[in-house]
Amino acid sequence: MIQIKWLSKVLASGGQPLTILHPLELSIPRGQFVAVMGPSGSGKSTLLGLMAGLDTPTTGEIHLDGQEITRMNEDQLARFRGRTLGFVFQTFQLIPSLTALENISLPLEIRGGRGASFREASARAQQLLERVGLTARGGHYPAQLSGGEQQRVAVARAFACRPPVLLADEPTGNLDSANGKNVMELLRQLHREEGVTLVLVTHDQEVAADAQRVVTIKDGRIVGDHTPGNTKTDKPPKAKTAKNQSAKDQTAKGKPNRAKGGGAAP
Amino acid sequence: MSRFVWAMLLREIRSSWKRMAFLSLAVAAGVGGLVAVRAFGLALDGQMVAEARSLMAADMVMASTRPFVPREQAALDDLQRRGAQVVISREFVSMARTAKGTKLVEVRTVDPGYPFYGRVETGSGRPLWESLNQNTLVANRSLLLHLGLRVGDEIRLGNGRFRVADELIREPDGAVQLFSLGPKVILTTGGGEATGLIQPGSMVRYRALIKLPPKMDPLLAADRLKSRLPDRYAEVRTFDQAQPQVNRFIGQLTRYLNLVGLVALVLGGVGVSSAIRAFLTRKLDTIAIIKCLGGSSRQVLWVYLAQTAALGMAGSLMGAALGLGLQGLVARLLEGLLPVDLVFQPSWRAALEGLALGTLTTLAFSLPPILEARQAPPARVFRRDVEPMSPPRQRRRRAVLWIGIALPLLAGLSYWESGSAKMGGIFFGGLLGAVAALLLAAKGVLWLLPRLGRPPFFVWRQGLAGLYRPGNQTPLVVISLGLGVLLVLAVYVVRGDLFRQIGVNAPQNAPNLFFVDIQPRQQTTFNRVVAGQGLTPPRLLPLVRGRIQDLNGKPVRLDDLDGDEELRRTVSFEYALTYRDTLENGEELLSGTMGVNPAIPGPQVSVADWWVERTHLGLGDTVTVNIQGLPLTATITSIRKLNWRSRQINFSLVFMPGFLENAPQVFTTAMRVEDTARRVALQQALSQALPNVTSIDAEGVIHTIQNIMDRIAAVVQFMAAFTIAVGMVILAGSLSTTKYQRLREVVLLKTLGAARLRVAGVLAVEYLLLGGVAGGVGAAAAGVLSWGLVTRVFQGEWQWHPLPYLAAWAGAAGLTVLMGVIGSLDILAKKPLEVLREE
Repeated sequence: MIQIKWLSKVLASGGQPLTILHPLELSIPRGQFVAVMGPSGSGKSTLLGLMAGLDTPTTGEIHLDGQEITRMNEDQLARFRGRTLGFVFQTFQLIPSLTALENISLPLEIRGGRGASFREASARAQQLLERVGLTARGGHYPAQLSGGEQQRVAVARAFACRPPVLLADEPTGNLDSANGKNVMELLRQLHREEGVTLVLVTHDQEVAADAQRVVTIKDGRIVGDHTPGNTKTDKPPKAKTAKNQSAKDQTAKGKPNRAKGGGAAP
Repeated sequence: MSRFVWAMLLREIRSSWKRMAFLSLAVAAGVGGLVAVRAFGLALDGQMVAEARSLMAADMVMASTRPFVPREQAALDDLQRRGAQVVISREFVSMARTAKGTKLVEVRTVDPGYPFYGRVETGSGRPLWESLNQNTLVANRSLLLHLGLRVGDEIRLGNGRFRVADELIREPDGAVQLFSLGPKVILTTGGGEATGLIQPGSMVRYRALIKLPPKMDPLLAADRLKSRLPDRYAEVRTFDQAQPQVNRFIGQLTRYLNLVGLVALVLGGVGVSSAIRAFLTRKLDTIAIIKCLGGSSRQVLWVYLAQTAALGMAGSLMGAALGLGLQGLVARLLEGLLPVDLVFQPSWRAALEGLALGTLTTLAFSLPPILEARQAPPARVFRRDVEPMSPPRQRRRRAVLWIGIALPLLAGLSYWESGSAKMGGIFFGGLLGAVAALLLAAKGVLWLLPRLGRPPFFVWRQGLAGLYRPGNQTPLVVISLGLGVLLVLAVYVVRGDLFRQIGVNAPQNAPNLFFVDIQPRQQTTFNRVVAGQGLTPPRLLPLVRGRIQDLNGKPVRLDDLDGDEELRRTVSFEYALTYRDTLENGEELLSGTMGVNPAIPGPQVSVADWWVERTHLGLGDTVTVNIQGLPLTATITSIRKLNWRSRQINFSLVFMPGFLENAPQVFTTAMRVEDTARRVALQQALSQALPNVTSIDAEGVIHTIQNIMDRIAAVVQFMAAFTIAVGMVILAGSLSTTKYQRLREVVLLKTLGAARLRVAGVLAVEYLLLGGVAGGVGAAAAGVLSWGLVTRVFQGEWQWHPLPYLAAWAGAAGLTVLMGVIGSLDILAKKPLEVLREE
């Protein structure tokens, strides 16, 4: 489903080239649930962004669903994303001026003529809303929803067009553990029941444990690729590092919150 | 447009309609002024077309300033033989007198049949010819009031005595002159003969009013008539070509007003543009999300373009309604200067034009920020810090967008509204220059202010800092408010300076009493009467009337001169010629010699500097003047600079002695009589002794000019008010844009222990500074502009009077503080905890 060849990303940071990703190869078959793990700054989010065609690589190609996305222009990419990809973000990224239901039907509306009619779109959104357990919250604006509710809306939106691939960037990063479990359950369900290829970036061991395959990235290189359960891998991350890492992420939580505050005050 | 765009449009309106409605007020104020003027102009045009025949009282007119010569008369007779009706109307200025006083009046004589179209309105409501005969006249009420007369009393005009048969309210073709010297009186032709006032050389305007038989085409008839005339002394015009001075003047004024209105509209557009930019900056995340979900840049473009169009249309609709509501006010401000009574109905054309203009301007000015914003990279959803482009590239792109879209539109609008490439160009350049100057001045002051040192008081420090808050549209508010102040103040100052110019500021010895039409044989009587009043008789100046016939032997044809309006105007009027070989009234010899040059054969003439500039002639060239049918060709032997400020009687063409002495001539002169009572006594004595001599009191003329200028100034200031309104809306808009930022500041100040009054003080200082900068910059620019207008365009003397400038400055500052504090009341009232919790 996803083939990555010789992919690298180098940024010119203050005149000096800064390598975010060293040339790497990765192949993800259809229907697989892959967790991409690694400390922050390891390049895992960059990899996800490149896969989604949100960023241009320095070298290499990405084939997604049989198409080479690295050769597409902005608008071809946008259409391709609408057809093939669903996104779930750490900071939810709902549009603040739209209700929960409208946020969900948005991808269908953008697809326009080629997809369902408006009434169908709204029916499908209603159905998805039900599926994520928020039937009563359809008319609420993001600011009126809790973090967990917002992320459930985001999951529903990601799957509105039934894309074959779902990309999730730290989907539980801003949620408490109960809500995090809830969202993960939804994603697992989509993977199980709809056969979606799910690529999930996380630093949470527990979240990664659900995946069929865990790819570990460090300093822009793939340093591990294994199936969980088979705990004795070639390079297990040290417990100490992981702990430090999660502490760091805790302190960093203020940032997205502030962003949310700004967004809710138009 | 797809359903998606519609849906997004409706949703965005739902979430931010208040802001959009408010923003659209800026567009509304801009469009309102334009629609008001345009509706007025269209109503006037429509009325003029509808009443074209009445405004001429005929189908066709042949006008001349000399009695019709035999060939002209023959051409008229021929028309009559072919079924046309002709009435001759003569107009001249004279003195009406009774035992109690005298008054300068405009006399008109007509025959039964007049008017062919329209009707003469009388005080009694009865038809003109029921009361008008050889021995009666009808007169304006102002004459009756001035002389203390009633209908039925007697008036003397020249040698004739007439009974006032009725009050004259209006004649259909009366309003062809903007500038009148006195009340109007209508006599019969026989009555006119009885006055004995029409003599060779007296200034009389003859008009043959012609009613054509129904089958005759006016244009063909006019051509045929023209072809039978001996020279171009008489002008022939058909009713649909009638372009009296008033129409041309009002037409030009309307165009100027359109341009003033355009300033407001453009400011509104710029205001909306900057507000849209601020709005889109907050929407960058939404755009990135839309793109992540599969939306293309084109879809993004359409979403925000649709919103802007909706905003522009809403504003333009409000503006059109406002303009239609105010169109009557424009007419009211110009009352007395209009040739017809205007009937106002909603003008759909003006409204539609306003709607199109407003929407187009809003879109054009918003397109640059929208085109920029649609480039927002979808990767923003991952990383906040990704910028679409490097700042220099972004700046370059922004410049390209502005130059490519907004400026061409503005140039096009300037051209369209002004109706000429030259005017449009001047306006476009002037507007850009004014904006650049204001922007530069504003930036300079804003740069300087913090460098003057830290204000010692907390309130002032905080207020000053507020000016530099990001998102505050300080430069834009300064420009729009400054432009408003500039317009209002410049008009006020220029008007004041011109008033002083024609009144108070005249030289101490400038004459205030002018006498015209003194016949050659009346010279001694004139001098005796003046001496009898204990005054020194002034020198009498010979005056011969003539028209320019050829320039350098080439016949002047008005129809060929449409490309050179200045030349056309210069050769089309009748000249007052004189003869002498000395410089007078502070004239200055620029080149050549004043005096007969024996080396040059034939007549010689000295001309004014302005005259050679417009005719493109020089020393040695020849000019042929037509004096009552006889051509006289003279060589230009000197060029003089005239001194208009002397207020003496100036002659542009002065013949050297020996050539004009035998031409039909009258005498004219001017003198100064300080005391009003003595002035009146002299006029009265002269009109008793020499009834045909007309005396003109400068004070009455100045009063008339002041009245006209007052009305023009009022209507220009009315339009400038729209600019100020736009500035206020932009100010209020920028208030709401930075509302949350200020809210946080205010709450912080309160939490840190500042009392509410102190916080209000901080805000007041901020707006005081803002209004002060805008008002100061605008007032300074008004000073420069008015100086340029008064000294360069009107050739007058500019004077510095601090009061209007200070008043405008204080007014701008006060208005800004008022708006700012009112706009902040709700913020001041917030409890700190409420806001901090929202964080």
